[in-house]
Amino acid sequence: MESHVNEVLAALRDPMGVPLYPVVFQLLMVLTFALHILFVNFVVGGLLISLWGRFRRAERWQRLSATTARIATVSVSFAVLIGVAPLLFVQVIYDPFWYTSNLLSAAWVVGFVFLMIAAYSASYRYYLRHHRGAARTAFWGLIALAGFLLAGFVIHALNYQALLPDAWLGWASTEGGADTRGTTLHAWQWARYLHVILASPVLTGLLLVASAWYFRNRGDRDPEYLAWVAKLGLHLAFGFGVISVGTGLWWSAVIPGKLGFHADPFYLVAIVLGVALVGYLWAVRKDPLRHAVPAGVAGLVVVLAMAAARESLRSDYVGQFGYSIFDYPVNLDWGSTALFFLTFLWGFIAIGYLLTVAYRSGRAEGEVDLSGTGMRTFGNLAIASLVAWIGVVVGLGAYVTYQHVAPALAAPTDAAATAPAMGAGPATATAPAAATAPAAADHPKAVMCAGCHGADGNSPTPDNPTLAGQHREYLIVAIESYRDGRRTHAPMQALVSGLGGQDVVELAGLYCLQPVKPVGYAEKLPGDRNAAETHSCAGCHGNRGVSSSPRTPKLAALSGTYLTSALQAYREGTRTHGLMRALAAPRSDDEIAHLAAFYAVSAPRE
Amino acid sequence: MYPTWEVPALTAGGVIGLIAAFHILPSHLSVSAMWFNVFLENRAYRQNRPELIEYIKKYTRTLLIFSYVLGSLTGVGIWFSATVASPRGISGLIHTYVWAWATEWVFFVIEVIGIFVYYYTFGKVDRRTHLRIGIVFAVASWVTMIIIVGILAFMLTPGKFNETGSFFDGFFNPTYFPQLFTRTGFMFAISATFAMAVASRLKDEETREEITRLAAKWGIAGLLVGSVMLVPWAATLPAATAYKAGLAGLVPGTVLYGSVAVAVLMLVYFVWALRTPGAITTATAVLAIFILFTGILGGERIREMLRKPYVIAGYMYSNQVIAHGVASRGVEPEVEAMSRDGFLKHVALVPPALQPISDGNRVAVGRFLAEQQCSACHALGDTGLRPLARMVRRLRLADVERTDGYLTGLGHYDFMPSFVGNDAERHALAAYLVELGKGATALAAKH
Repeated sequence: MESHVNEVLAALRDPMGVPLYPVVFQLLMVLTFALHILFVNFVVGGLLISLWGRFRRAERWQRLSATTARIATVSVSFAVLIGVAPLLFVQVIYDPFWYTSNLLSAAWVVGFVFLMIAAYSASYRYYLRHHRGAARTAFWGLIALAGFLLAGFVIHALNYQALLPDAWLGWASTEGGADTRGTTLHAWQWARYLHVILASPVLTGLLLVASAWYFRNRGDRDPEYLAWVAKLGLHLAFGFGVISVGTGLWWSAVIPGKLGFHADPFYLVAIVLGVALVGYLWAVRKDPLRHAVPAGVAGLVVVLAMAAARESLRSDYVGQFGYSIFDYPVNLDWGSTALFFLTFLWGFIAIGYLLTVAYRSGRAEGEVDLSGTGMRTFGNLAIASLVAWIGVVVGLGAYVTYQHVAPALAAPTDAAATAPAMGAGPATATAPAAATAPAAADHPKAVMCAGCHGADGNSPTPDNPTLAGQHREYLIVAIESYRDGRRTHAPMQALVSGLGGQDVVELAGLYCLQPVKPVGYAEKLPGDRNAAETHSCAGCHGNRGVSSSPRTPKLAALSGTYLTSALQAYREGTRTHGLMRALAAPRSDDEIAHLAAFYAVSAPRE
Repeated sequence: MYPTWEVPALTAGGVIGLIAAFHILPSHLSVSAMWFNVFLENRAYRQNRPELIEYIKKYTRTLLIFSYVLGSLTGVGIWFSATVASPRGISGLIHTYVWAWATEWVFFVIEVIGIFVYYYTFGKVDRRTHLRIGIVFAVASWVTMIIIVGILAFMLTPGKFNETGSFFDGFFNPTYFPQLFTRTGFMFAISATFAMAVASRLKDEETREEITRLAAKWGIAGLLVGSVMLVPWAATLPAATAYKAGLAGLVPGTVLYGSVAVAVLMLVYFVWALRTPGAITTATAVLAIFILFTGILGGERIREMLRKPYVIAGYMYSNQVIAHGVASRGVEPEVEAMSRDGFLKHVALVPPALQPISDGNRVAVGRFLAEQQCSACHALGDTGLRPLARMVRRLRLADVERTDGYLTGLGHYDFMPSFVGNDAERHALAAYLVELGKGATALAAKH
């Protein structure tokens, strides 16, 4: 069983490989996940505190409730923004796990997006109504909280399901076949989910302490209120910190012992740091403002340690099935790696500028003048850095494009041949029938064709197909199929046996270049596009019988009589081609005649 | 191959299509709206017009909520829906372009911080600083487009990527620049449409008309630039793809001409607004947004059709089978191996009831294969996107032998991959299709 799972996982891994050593993606994933979950905690914690405050009479609670509503709402933006990064990196190094788990609960995955939109909208509504002092705002806050909690639960389940590959087949199967509805969440772990959710008031509490510290020097803020906020924040952090230690122990109790996680140094460090944080909060509870910054930093460190332990736990889970991110095939790509890391560093100029403006404008009341030389230069530098980035990258783009276009420009006659064929096989362009096309009759073997198909490839009778203007490749295919007996027609078979390979190529090349001429005989039926029901023909033979694929014949302007006999031959099975036989078999004589007539009167073939 | 997600009628691909088409509104709005804002804010300061600032605040709030709630979440939504509709497709893109997305993300960070700082520092910082914040946002926002267009254009025209496997060869591919400029033009038409909707809420008539006229001018310019840039875009499409644009009924006439009609209609709307700005009510402006959306939906549909039979041109078919390898990255094509070993050998989670193929489970195996190989583009029932049951009936594939023959020749269509699998699997799919053609009830009874 396990070896089967190992094979499945190995087969699912993306064959493109990764552009840099997997450990780099793992590190970035853990770092960005820690930041993401921090903001997730602010969302949940902010809404919890805000709703609690909404139902309290005291004016300060109302004030705090409005502030935390805003914190929660703004934090959603950052949670989503930062969440994109670990979502990207998990797909790089754990793609088999992430994709399979998503597929098995696909409806929830898409539902998650709509749930988030609904919850985020409710959150905005709550926050904006709150600031306008509207009554009954709590309703929208509760909707938002419920939505975010459920959305978080979905993501939790997807991540947990990903760790259980030996259960996947059971989830994917029904009694008689496959379950492709994706409407079931298959596995979750309450302890793990609650451990993350109940940490929300801890981190949001620390954020409150930090914000009280930030506003401490602003004259328009009531120091008594700030002191109260700081104290409340610290008490929340401590109280829920104790609870979080409990949920953390509960989680570690349900982690299977065989994973060996309980002796994992990452796990032990995370536990020690978590408990130490709670102890530290207890110790500084009397004077939170003085310890605001170290407490905030300590909170961040604990989140990072937890994120690292979580990743270590994942590698233990997947290791059971012989999966290690370090085996991922690496196709080193220094160019794009440099693009990212340089951009990342470069981006700090603009990010630094924005954050500095935000930080400095918030610390004082009223309008802050940041027009001094320092900030002005900083701002101009931020803009210049972005413009320079565009210059470099677009310049690189222009250079690469020029490299690709240059050969085509240098040899304009070859342009058609070198046009990218999208890997779809041979180039599909057929040379247009030039007025100066060499006469087919000049070829020494042309006399073998001319009798029935006309000296210039325009057939004199409706019984024989016109060769003029046909795809060269198709003419070759047709001759080959007479030669090997797939098409049977005694005169043709006899004649082609006298043609060498070189003759075939040359004759096809000549006839395809001959212009199509108006026919000298009358067509029997008027072409009727609707009656002809040509949709299923058009896929291969093209719009109005001009096919794009060089191996598929153009039908336009072939005679109705010839087309009728060809379709009948497919129907009777004397011409063998699975698809054509399947399509022709159910057609009546009448329908075949209509189809043939439609193409017979269709426009010429170029 | 991963498991599949079957969405009745709409298909999983249709789910991405809808989310992705919708995402264009907020994302392109985000990229262009701030240019309009900065232009107007500059005018407000020069002419000392506080009423313009009031408008800019309103427009920014629309941007903040529309683009940074709906925009960012539908953006994530494209990834999530692609994950469940085409995991190997999105995985292939991510494993090639992870650093492009990560780079784009850096600019997302600048955007999100920027929009909040811009919105919350009105009147909190001096004017020139506030303008600088707007410019930082506007430029960073356009960079996100510069990046994502590389990946989008790659999916249609991979350029030299398949030969060299080089990131930049695929990224700066033949349709890259035309598409960048097309989108850059059209994004101004989108922000102009929204700007007029926000302006219609203003009470002061003079300001309303001034802004409406300005927006109409931006809209006309954007529409013209975007449309003109479609010409070089179409010219750089490979011959085989360009041909498909006009291919018999492949892009339905309603979609093709409908999209053109929307562009014309929008032009008429902008000209009308320019001449009689007072006539634009909120209802009209919102209707215009809806009409614009139908045009975007049509345009995206055409882009998707042009890519057929691939999800990533020249690399992976719509049904996620790797059509052509990328030798420089050690990627092998799969069609041959899957036909040789049997397709099911390459599917990760094949339910036990479907192995081995027997008389008892043949139709069920066929259904499983249809889910794997057809359902990316075809609804399996009678209704919805390119419904298989109806096609089977139209082609009158009533017996297994002929249907099997039809499947053998499937690769001859320009826009559809061939069937991939061994003979027994092809028979199974044929058996299922014949049952499907008989009607949903007959099939349900067997299931």
